[in-house]
Amino acid sequence: MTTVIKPASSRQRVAPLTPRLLRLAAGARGWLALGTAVTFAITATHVGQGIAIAQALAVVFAGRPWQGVLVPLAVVSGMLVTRAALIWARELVVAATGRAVKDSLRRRLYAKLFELGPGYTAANRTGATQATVVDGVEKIDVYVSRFLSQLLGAALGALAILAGLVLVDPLIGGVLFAGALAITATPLLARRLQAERAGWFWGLWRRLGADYLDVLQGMTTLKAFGVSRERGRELARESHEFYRASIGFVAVANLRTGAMGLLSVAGVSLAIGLGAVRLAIGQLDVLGLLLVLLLAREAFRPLEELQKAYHSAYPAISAAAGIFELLDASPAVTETRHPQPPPASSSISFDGVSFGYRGGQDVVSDLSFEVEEGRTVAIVGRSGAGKSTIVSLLLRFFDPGAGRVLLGGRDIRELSLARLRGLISVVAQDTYLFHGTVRDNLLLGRPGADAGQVEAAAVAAGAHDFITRLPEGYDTVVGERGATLSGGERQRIAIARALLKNAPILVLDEATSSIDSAHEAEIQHALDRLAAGRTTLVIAHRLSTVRDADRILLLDQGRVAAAGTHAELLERSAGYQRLVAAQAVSR
Amino acid sequence: MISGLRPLLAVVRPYRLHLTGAIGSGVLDQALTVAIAAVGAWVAGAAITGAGVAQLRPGLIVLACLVIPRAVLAFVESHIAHDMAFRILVDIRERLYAGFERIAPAHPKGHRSGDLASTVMDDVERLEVFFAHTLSPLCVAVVVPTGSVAALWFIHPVLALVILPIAALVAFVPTWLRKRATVQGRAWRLHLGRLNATAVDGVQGLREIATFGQEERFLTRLGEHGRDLNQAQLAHGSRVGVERAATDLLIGLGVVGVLAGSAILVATGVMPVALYPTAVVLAAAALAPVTKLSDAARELGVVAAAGERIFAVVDAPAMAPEPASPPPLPALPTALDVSFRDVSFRYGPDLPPAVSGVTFDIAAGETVALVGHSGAGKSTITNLLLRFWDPESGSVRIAGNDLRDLADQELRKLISVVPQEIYLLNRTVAENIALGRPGANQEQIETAARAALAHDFIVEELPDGYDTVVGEWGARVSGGQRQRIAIARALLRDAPILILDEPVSNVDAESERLLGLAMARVRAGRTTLLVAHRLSTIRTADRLIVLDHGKVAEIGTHAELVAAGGTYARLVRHQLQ
Repeated sequence: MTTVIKPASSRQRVAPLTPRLLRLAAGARGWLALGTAVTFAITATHVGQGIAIAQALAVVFAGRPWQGVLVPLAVVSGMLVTRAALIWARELVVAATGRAVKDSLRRRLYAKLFELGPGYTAANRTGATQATVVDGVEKIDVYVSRFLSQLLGAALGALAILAGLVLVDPLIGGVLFAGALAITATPLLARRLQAERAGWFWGLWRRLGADYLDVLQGMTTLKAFGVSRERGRELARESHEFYRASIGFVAVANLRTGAMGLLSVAGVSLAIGLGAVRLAIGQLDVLGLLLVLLLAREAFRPLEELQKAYHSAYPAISAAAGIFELLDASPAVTETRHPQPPPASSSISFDGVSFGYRGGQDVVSDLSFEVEEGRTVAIVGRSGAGKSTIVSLLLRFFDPGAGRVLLGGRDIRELSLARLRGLISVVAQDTYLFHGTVRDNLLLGRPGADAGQVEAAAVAAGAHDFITRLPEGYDTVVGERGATLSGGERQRIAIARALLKNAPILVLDEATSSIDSAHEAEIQHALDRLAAGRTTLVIAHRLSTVRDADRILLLDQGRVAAAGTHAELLERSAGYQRLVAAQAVSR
Repeated sequence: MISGLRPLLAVVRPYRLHLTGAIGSGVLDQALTVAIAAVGAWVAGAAITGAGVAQLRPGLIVLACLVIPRAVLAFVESHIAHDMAFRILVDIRERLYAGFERIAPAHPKGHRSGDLASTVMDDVERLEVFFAHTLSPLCVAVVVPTGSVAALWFIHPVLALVILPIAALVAFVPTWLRKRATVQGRAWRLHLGRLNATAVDGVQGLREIATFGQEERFLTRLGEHGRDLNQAQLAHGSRVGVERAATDLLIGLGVVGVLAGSAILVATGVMPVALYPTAVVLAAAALAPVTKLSDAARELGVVAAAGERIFAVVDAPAMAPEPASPPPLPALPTALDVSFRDVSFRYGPDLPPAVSGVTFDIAAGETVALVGHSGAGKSTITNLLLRFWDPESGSVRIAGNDLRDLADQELRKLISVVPQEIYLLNRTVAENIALGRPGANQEQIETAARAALAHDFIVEELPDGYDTVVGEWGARVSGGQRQRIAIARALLRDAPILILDEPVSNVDAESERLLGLAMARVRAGRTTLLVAHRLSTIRTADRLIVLDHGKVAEIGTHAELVAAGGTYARLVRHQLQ
């Protein structure tokens, strides 16, 4: 099998500054440079302000007339105004950086997802994929536009100030340099403990979340059985355990922040004390001491801010793992390089097809059958017999491990994916409705259709009546996952979509199985209308819906166990007889 | 916004000691920070004005002595505040659970079921900002600047008067653009919601996008929504930038004011020159904590919104309040009858009645089927019998006892349910069956499973048999198997009254046959209310109650009603053919 899906446990660990992580910011390189420049400039205004204030103080200490402070004060004011403008600009740059990062990353991820196709999410990973493409992108944005853009600016700013102070006094500068190095090293403090506690915390967070979700969804059941209070007590115990993990986790973080604070205050105090003593013994001048007094603090400020930014960017590192995993996945099917024109006929044929998911056991094996143009063939069998896999293979969500699927005599691997899928309409068991109006959802079948065509299709699908009863008719926005429409109503929208698409091949994949029996007749009627004149493949476990098919295939463990008309199979196939008998009892 | 915070303050009340500790250490921490800066400045000033090393020594010693306590206090403040915050979150989660329990199966207004877990986890966690990072800094932001201003006043009153108006202005920066902030916040959420909905569409609707060849159109739409959101974020960023810039500028002006003022005071001999650096440092220190206040104010909107969602659930009244002192239940016979007398009910004051004037009886041991279109009131009747809600008028009785007089636990013991949508907890199959009778042993569980025709598939098809953990929403168990587990659960519970809600969606033929057999077994000897969709099931009932738009349309046996040619006959016409 070509699908390569890594289990979640083998997720690679991503370091905070790998080249690959940096490349995610590639689209925003210009903005990043600007952000760095702005951050550096902000630090520069702090320095300028410090120097000017030191000069003002020096004027006063020298006993010169107070008017002497006016020039330095004017400089300070200039710095203040400049910095205000820079601070404002930084927020804009951050927003612009985010825009550049997110737009390109999102596009890249979805393009990849579309390349991977439905086969990728079919492997039960919808939730994880969604977290990656929706939340993951936001987290990378924080990492790039808050952390990365500050990283260089802060490091350069701190270095520049420290270098300046070394020039003022090598000893004091050296002390501050050592302090800065120690501050930068605080994340190394208690790293093992931190990792352990973080693991404890996140593990319990996920467990508590899953357990709450579980219990809240099952609350009605728990309540009906009178065990909801007991379950609440269990959760309270878990919640208390989570409290212990939280405070344990935060204690380590506090320890590091505390160490950083201690180093910073001690470093500054030591520098000032040293400065005072060195002035007293005549090894430093007044301006030098004042510069130390006002700038020592500034040398540490960018580093502390950087630590804060790093903290808030931390989630990005775990998000990156999911993003790389998606980007690294190889698609289940590849587009042909020399696509052939569409076949003249719309007959379907499976020729010795075998397939198993992820290298597991074959779900269909050596399967051969044919649907002649314009005919209806039904596939029946117990669940798990491989019926739905046939649809996935026909739509080329996966390629068979052996054998061929042919359309009008042509191997479907020779057609472009878009062309192949354009030839087929699917009405499936569950119909996904997109966020948007009912009309938008119908137009999916034929984007250019006018209102008349849309309505005609809805009428033919038996959907027009309930649509017009919706608060805003065709322009009603459907809730997520079609919350406001029943299964039967969604089904009819899918039928109308298929009518609009007007493709020569129709696949009905358990199309009536989630429908209230009161509506079954109506929908069956609409489906009959849809199938007329098309090559139709019906997947069903309800025999009443397939009785009229031209041919019925009984599938058993991925093989055709029997084939023929309903009457023929009733006569010949024991397996079919069992199926019919089972339904007769229950019906 | 403030009203959203009031209930949060009430939650803190039991933790007054924690809060006092956090505020105390927070104030001391900040005061020491200012003191260290001031003493450092004093030492520098003294050295510049000619003090010798010996004269500097006391100042240096004080400086050295302050450094470690400050670091320790910062740690203590954060630790106490977080400890309090996390304890409060435990309390709030407990109260949320109780709220959800009280109102189930209803959802709080504006919540979808998928949101519930997010409220319990994310919204609650969001409050941590308030309890751990807002409450005590808020107090510190008031106390410490006041102290610094007092110290400035001590140096010279003029300096305090310079700084005071600026401190006030800094504190109010976030209120300047409050209206715009609200509008921008709303626009941001709106566009974010749209973008997320589209992004989710792209994953969940991947199959449809592929089969309809909509990839390019989707990317275009995603790009448009992304641009809209970016516009909103840019506007938001611009406003935040203005606020940050204004705050920074104001603090700078305060320092400049004190710098200039002190220069004049020193020059005119009113103020000793050695105090000059101290005054400047104090001015900066007085204003710094005030900025934390405005940072916190920026967060409060998010916190208040989360608080609102949480307390909507916590404060939700019970749909069917338990009687304060339920009379002891008389000894009941083993078989019980159920009666609905003129029952009317609506789910909300502005909603149409879900059932009205419904009257019927189910004799002890009888099976009665509820029949009708979806929306006819079938589920409402089961909800009322389970007392998830109380009727607006009329009464529901079991063996002559009004449900409103029964203790919840007593009532629950009388009824077991096989619901239509079966939720299996994310636990082992055995635990899910034992839900019917906590403390049941393995043998009892297996007996029930055998009777429900579930034993075979549990042992043969599930990887760990009875110890298999059911995936979320029972992912690894098929629909028909889920039904049989639920029937086993009901059998194990062995309650005299049974509510059996038949699944709407079709399962494969073999499962359907087994299900039919299991349903027949669990009903034997019990008073059964059957919500039925299939004719084959309906026919097994002793009597049918046909519902139409919340009213009882007909009551009778299948044969009687078909012969009568009324609502029922029309309803099943198609299935009879």
